[in-house]
Amino acid sequence: MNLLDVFSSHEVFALATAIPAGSESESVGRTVIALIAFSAVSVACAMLSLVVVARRWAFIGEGIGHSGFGGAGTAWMLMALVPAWDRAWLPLLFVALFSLGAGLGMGVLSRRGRISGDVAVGIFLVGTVAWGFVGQQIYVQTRGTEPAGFLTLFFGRPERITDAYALAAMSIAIAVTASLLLLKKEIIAYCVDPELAETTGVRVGFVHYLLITLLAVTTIVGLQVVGTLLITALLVLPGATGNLLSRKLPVVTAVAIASGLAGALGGQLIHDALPIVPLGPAFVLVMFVLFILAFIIAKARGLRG
Amino acid sequence: MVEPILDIHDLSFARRGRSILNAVQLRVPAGSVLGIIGPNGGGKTTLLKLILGIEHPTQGQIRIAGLNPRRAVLSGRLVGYLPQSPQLSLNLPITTRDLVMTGLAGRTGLLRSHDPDDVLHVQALLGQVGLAELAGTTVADLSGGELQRALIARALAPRPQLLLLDEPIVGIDRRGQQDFIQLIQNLRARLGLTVLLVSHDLRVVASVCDRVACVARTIHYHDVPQHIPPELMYRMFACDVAAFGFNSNSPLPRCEDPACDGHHLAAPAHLPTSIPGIESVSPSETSDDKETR
Repeated sequence: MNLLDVFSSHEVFALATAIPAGSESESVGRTVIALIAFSAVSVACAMLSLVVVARRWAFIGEGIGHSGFGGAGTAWMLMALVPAWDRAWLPLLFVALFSLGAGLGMGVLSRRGRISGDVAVGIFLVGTVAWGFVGQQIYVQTRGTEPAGFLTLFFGRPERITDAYALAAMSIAIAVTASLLLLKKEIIAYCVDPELAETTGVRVGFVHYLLITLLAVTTIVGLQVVGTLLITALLVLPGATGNLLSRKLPVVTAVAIASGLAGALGGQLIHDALPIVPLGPAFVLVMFVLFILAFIIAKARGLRG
Repeated sequence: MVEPILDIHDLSFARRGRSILNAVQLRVPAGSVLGIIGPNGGGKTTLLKLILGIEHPTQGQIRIAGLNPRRAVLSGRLVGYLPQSPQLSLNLPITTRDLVMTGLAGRTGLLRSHDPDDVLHVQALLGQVGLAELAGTTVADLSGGELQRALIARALAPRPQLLLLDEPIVGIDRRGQQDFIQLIQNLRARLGLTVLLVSHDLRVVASVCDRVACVARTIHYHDVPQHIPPELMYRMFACDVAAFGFNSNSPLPRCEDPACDGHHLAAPAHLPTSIPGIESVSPSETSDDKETR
């Protein structure tokens, strides 16, 4: 059952009740749960994209996403060398640990300009990707096959959304939204100029590491949808689109969220209509088209030179 | 004697083994306006960053209203700061009012809404710096001078007791400079604000400051409560030896003032005797000319 069928079905409202396994209702439920999960990831990424664009952190998102590959490589290496550790959840655990660790590591190195942000990201990105390939090759040589989830990490596997994943996506969306709303004045001060914010009494270190942590956790959750290669799109395109269409923060925020949600919904519709188009890339392509449209509109209205 | 709001004792600072400031002593009484002049690279901005707790002394201590710099800044209501060249990210589409309001973030505190009085104060400040009509304009659309005025309002937003201004009139036109001078004088009169003003513009320093310190690795401090005469201003500024054509390897001329303990630099003889725009006052009219270090 695809999204169009879901919208024409009354059974969507049966989600809150027990759904017999293998039934049509279960199929409806899975599609709705996936859509909720995509929407939650979209909202989290869209709100963080305002910070990513303001602080020019696009490369950090890329670095965090790719660092996950180093974590997966570590898990594959352990699984190949220690059969007792051959557990399906181990790569996910190490992806999360590496992504979070790399995010915080980049945050520490780039703070106060000890090393420039771009260089810090580059160091972590190449180091962890190289390490990940070492782990992958050890697994291939030992087991004679690719490790499970190798391609998923690069391209995502949005069609395998579980209830636990949907719950994680909604949790991160709520955490990001709550953090940005509750710390709005501190985050705005930080995004405008961290050093100036510090001289005003803002606890800049706390804000810096909180944002990096939210970015890392959101990236980890988003990997399931689009993979390491495309995760940056979710963290950049919504904010960039919003900035093209308005110069008012509330409007930019609304446009960014709408762009993310349109990507989730539009991507699902395209995938349902043309199953040959993978869901993750469809998601990103919709947002990319929206960005191009916003650029054309902004040019026509003279909002951007 | 008026209690100092800023008390710096035996302060030294080195970066990567290179001494930037050495044995600085400075006590700034509450309500005074101290001009800080000196050569480029002399340590003026570093001194402000040490006062703000952004840099940390290698020796000595700083007290702001009895607190160390970190605590004073975190209180959000003791110190206001205007940097020389802020690295603002204009990618976040905020208005002029939003920018000025960011100055209240520390004063208001985590998880709290701004006090309505503070919001009204910000509105009043926008009027005082001539930006009331641009309050809703996006910061990216402000001119350089307008942005500078917004940042001055931002520094004043938390109603600080100590205001640190690093080259505040750079990029501001003549009219804006006069308005700035008026604003500082008003704030001092109304609020008893203490101001540290770093500037290369001697006209502005002479207009608003009642004390002048020359920072060139250490501080040459002159307490001049009434008016700063041109001759004295030149002598203070004479720590900019390169600007006055001295060879840095040759011995520096020493001040011949009998009250001076020998740390002053004398004004070179070839200097003009007046500065355009500054009323000439005889050196004998100055009430004090002392050096703390």
